[in-house]
Order: sequence, then C-alpha cells, then structure tokens
Amino acid sequence: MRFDAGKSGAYRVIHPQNTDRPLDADLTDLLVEIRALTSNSDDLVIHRHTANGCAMAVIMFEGQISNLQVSDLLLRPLAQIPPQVDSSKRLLEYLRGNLLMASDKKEVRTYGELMRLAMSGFALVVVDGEQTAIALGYQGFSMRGVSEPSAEMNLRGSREGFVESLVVNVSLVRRRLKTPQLVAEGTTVGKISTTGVKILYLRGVASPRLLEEVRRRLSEVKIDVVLDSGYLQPYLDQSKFSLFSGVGVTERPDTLCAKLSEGRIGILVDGTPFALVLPYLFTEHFQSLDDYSHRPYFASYVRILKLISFLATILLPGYYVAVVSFHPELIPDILFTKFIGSVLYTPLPVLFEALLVFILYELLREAGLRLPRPIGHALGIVGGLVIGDAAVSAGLIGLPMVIIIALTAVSSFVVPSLYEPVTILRFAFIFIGGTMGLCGIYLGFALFVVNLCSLKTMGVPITAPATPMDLHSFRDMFVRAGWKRLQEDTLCVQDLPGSDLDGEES
Amino acid sequence: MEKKVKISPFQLTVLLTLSRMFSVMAYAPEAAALPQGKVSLLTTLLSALAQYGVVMVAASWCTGPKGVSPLFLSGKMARPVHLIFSGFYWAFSVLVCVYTLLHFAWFLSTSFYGYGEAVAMALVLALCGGFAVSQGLEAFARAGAVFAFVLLAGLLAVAVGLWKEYDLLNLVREPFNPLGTAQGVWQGLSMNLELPALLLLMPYTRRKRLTSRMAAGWLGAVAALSGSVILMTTLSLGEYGGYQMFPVFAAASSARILMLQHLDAVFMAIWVLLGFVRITVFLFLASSMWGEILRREVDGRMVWANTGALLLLCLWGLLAEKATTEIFRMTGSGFPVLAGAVAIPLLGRLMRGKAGTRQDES
Repeated sequence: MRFDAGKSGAYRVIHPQNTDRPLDADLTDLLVEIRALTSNSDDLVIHRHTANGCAMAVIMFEGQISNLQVSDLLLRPLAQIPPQVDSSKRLLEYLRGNLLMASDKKEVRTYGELMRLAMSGFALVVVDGEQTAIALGYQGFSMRGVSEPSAEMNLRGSREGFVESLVVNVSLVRRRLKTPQLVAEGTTVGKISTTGVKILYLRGVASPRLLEEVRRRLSEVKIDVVLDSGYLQPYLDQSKFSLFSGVGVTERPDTLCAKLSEGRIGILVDGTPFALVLPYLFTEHFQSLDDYSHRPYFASYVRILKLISFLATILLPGYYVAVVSFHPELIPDILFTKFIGSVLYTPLPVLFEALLVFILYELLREAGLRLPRPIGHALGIVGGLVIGDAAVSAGLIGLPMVIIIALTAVSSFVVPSLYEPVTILRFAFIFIGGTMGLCGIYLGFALFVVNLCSLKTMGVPITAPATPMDLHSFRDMFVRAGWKRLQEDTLCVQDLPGSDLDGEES
Repeated sequence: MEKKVKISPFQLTVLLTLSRMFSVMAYAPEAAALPQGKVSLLTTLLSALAQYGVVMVAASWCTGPKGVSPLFLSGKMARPVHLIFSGFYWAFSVLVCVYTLLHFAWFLSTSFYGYGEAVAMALVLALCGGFAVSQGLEAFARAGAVFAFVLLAGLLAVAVGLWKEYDLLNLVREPFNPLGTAQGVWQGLSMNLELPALLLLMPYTRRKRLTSRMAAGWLGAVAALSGSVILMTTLSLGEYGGYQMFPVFAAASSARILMLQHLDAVFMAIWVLLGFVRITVFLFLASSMWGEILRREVDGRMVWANTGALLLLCLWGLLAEKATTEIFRMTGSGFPVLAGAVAIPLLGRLMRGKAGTRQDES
C-alpha cells in the first residue's frame, strides 16, 4: 500500500486562452471565433446587419448594456446609413465619424480587448473585411448607488462612499480633487478575471520611486481571479511578517483624497468599494476625517482616547491575569478581597478563565457578524444575559473578568482598523501574563514595539513620524493643531525621517 | 568596513541614556560608602564633566577619515592587532550583558519573583534581546523613543506619588566630603559602561565625528535624569533610602497615587525596559565585533550564536555564586571602562602613529 496522503490532483495552474491575436477580417470567421471563445454562451448577443451591401455585426452581452441607449444611439443610426457609403473601408470611416454617439468610444484590434470591453458593458461594431472594431460605452448593468459607507462612519463630512463600479469611484475622487495633477492610471490584474484597477496619484506630489514600486508589485500579481482589493494587499505590503499592515483601506472618497494630497498612492479595484492607500503609517489608525471637522481640542482628545483604548485592549486582560496570578500584592486593598475572592471561588486558573471567556466572546462576535438581523438580536440576548450572567452566577467565571472583557471589547471597537492585530495580541498577552507575570508583559510589550518599529511600508518607517521623530509632524499626530497652522505646509510622506524614498516628485 | 545601517545621533543618544539609566536605577550610595544628600547631586554633576572630558579625548584619539571608532585605528594595522582589539570589545560587550542579566535576576528575585522564576526571566530577557537585535539596529533605535517616553512618564508618576513624603531636611544633612565626592566621581566614571559603547556605535550614525554637543547632550541627559532620581529618592526616603539595596524601588513602593497604593509595577516596567535596552545594545555590539573578526556584516546567525553564548554564561553565573561575585567585582572595578574607552584608543593611536612614522621613513 502506497502512502500518498496529502497529494491531491485537485489543484492545477489554469492557463487563460490566448486572445492577443488580431481580429479576423472576414465577418463570419470573426463571429465563429467569438462564439468558440465564449462556448456559445447564452448571454452573448450578436445583431447582424447589412447596409448598402456591407455586412456588419453588433456584439454585446445581455445585461451589461443599456437597451435604450443601444436602440436609440446605435441600432437606429445603423439603419440610416446613406447610399454613398458602399464599401467596408468607407463604412468603417463613416462609423468612426459622427454617426455613433457615445461618451466612451474606443477602437479594438484583438480578440482579448474585444472580449474584455464587451464584458465591461461596451457594444462592439465589427465590419466585414476590416480588422478593427469600434467599442461604444453603453453600460447599463445594475449596480449599487452611492451611499454612506458601512464600515467607516463619520459624524460630519460627506455621506458618500465608494461603490463597486471603477468608473464611478474615479469620478467621486475627481469631483473632490479638481486638479489636472490627479492621474488615474489604468491596468488589469487577474489572469482569468482581467479585473480593472486604477492607480491614483497626484503628479508633482507623489514620489516617482514609490509609483514605480507600486507598478512593479502589481505586475507580480499572478492570481487567476481578483475579486477584491484585499487580494492585492499582500503584494503591496512589506515582505516581513507582522501583525500590522502597511497598506491602508478606506471606503471614503474624501479620505482617499486627503491621503493623495500627502503624496500617497491610491488603488481602486473594480468590483469592490474598498480602496487601498499606501504607504499607510501606524499613527493613521488613530486619525479620521472627522478630526479635521471638529475643533482641535476635541480632535486631540479623541485621538489620545483611541491610543489609550488600543493599549488598554491589548494589555488590560493580560495585566489582570499577571497581577492576580503572580503579583497579588500589587492589588490595592480596596479591590483585593473582590479580586482574590473571584479567583478563589472559580474552578479554573485565571489564565484559562481569561482564555475561555475571550474565546467565547470571539465566537459570539463572529457568529453575530453574518447572521440575519432578527437572529442577531437573539444572539446578543443569549450571549450577554444568559451566558454572561449565568456563568457568573454559577461561579464559572469571576465578575472582575466579565468587567475586563466588557471594557476590552468596547475599547477594541474604538479603532476598528486594528481589530485583527489587537485580537491576536490580546491572546498573546493573556498567555504571557499567565505564564510569566508582569515581567513577561513588559518584555512582550518591548518586543511588540521593536517589531513594529522594524516595519517599513514602501520604504517609509511605519512608526514615522513618532519615531524616527519629526517634531514638526507632531502638530498633526496624536494631537491636532488648528487649520491656521496646518495650512502652512502639507506633509509629503516620502520626506519623513527614515524614508528610503528620496523625496523626488513625479 | 563601511556600515550600511545608519541611525541618527539623537537615536544613539537616547539608546545610551536608557542603557545608562539601568545602572542608575540600582543606585545604592550607602552600599558603596558614598556621600548622600546634596553632595550626591554635586557628585553626579562632577562625574558627568569628568566623563565628558574622557570621552572627548578618547574620541579625538579614534577619529580618522572614515569617522570615530577604536576599530578604525586597528583596521589599518596588522590583522592580529585588529583581531585582538575586536576580541577585547567582544569580551567587554558579553561581560556587560552577563552583568546586566545577573543584576536583573538579582533584583527580580529580591522583589517580585522567587529565585527560580527570576532566573527564568533573565534567560527570557536574553532571548528577547536576541530577537530585538535580529530586527536590526534601526528598529530598536526607533523603539528607544517609545521606551524613553515610558521612562519619563514612569518617573514622573513616581515623583508625583511621593509628593507627600518630600522633606527638604533630607537633602541638607550631610556635610561636604571631598574624599567621598571624589569616590563618587570615580564610581560614576568607572560604572559608565556606555562610554566605550558610544565610541563603537558612532560608525553606525549618520555623523562622522563625535561632536561636543552630542557628548554633552548625552551626558547631560544622564546627569539630569540621575540627579532627578537621586533628588526624588533622597527627599522622600532620606537616610532610610541609603540602607536600601534598591532605593528607587523602595521609593516607588512608597509612592501613592489615588487608589493605587504603591507604584512597584511602574518601577518594574521601567526596570524591565531599561534592562531590555541595555541587553539589546551590548548584544548588538557583541555581534558586530564578531562581524569585525569575521569581516562580515552582522547577520541572524551571528546574533543567535552570541545569544546562545550569553545564555550559557548567564546560567553559569547564576548557578555559581563565585562567578557572580567575580563578574560584579570586575565590572565595578573600572577596568573594562578604562580599557575600552581610554587604554585601547590610546594604544591604537600610539601604534598607528608609529606605523605612520615608519612608513614615512621608508
């Protein structure tokens, strides 16, 4: 008997069809080839038409185009071609001219381009005897309207968020940065999906080295199907392992515009409302666009509160476990009897109690995330009242532990962009505190800080401008100065201390 | 060898200040029969001036076209000389690491943990130092700013918590003692293990020369922090503090802020972070000396090999009481600092000067 466990033939490299060859001049051959490429797919629509003895065809995909626009702006004019247009060449010239109206008009010469545009909502007109097709943008596919972003709420500021359409997203940015310096560079990723991607930057502000590096990394993406910006994130992130990402994510066009003005690069991916921003610094997790609408004292207060919440959520549970397990002499007298009482009368050691409770909390959170709303409410009642209250009444977990969880849970949602690393760090510190006490907690914190300081995002230290220190940047870091001071100059991220980007402008 | 990694002089200053503060936190004037009260403040100031003089003279001996380092001198001489110099500094760095780990374990075993746990913590500290060095000099240089903030915040918290205990009489009770002051100045100089470290780490900074401003800034910061700690401890504990092995810890234990009855945990945070910084700095130096010996840049294998050697030496020191005593005696004698910061640079300068003369004659 051969041992072949672990070997699977279920995985293979998919090679996309070669569609880079030029279009056939013969219309019949061309249409046969298109049907073959799509395996005569049901949603492929081909209208054949003849005008003055010249055969032509309109190729489109059902559901992608606006039927009204195609009827009024394409099919009707095709029926009104004058008799003097009696050859393929003249017909193509006539169609290229003013006859067919569309805001987005392109010429296509390969099968690959033809298929990609047809699947992007273009109607393509091909003429018998010519190897060029005319693509007209009559998109009419259904898409979600511009609405308030679900994952990034603000009290003041715009209520518009990105949507799934790349064209709409670029327009949302263009409307806010009405400058010819704003460049939207197009590319595609995904061998099979050929998903559209736009690289946004401000010419004259963004570093050319940064831009070159982004282009290079995107060219290394060899994924077959790219459905979300998250697929591209690992390629743009630092190669060194870390819990923290050097690539930011935003759903807000106003936030993206603010980042672009600081020399960063924005990446929009077709089919997802989440834009990528890089380089993304650690201190930006504690900043939001609301800070610039509020008064400086309140904005500063909110930022410091977020920082304290972040530290509390990762350190507080581990600190409690460490003190109760190893250093009960550090507990103030007024709390001593309550803490020690909860430890003595619960069956599990504090470490396991903490791990159990936080695992339970994560189960409830994860379950509630994707449930339909009516069941989600019931889950909240079950989790909070029944399990929490019943567990404490039964003496399975102590009341101080429930308070710690509640504080930690609330603190973790103050900075939602850091939720992933915070969850892992919290468990790590609980384990460290339960096995090594306070000394372990402090050493763990030291290692966490050193590891964070070792990271660079696209050549910029992730902890800049806190360290390496840039005193001038302190006016808009954990505190925010007033606009009269902020307007004096604008941060250029490539010029931060410790940056490998030379500060050249594109 | 031209160093690829470059940090700013300010970052180096912060690192060496934090490293130096580890010794200051274990300040025990009575144990060393040294003056107390306001004389200690004077001692601190005079010692800082003496150290400034020593480091500037040593730097002038080590300065060459490529920058400041005793190894630049030996690098131009015969290979065996360079090996001896590098070997000495490697031994010096390892000695400081072992001393730090033993001191660390000693404090933890007297205050927070049992002996076995304290030994384990010291070994964990060594491993953490190895990890930090493997992240690169730039990483822990940047982290130094965060640790400096924690140190200042912690000391401020302790100082505020002690405000009810301050008594000015504690400061003025001791008459001026010239011998005691001289002893204090010598002790400050001989225990500043960071003096040779400054000379060895200068090639890793973006500045080629050790300027008087940088040296004064570093020593001034250390003097200011040390003076603040001494002042706080003396004002609050008075004569009682002089009998404590760790007076600053005793002061932190007495501090009260609101319902937090003592700030031992704050002191432990400061102590652990300072120990971590010192281990990291000197473990990096030990690894870089291997690089000088092997003529290679510091890499992960060198770092972990040095960490392994450090663990073994630390275990030996912890298990053999005599070894601990010898290590403490050797470190406190002043020989490592004088050799590393004065003798070796002077020797290198003299040898280089002779070699240069012989070349001119030939």
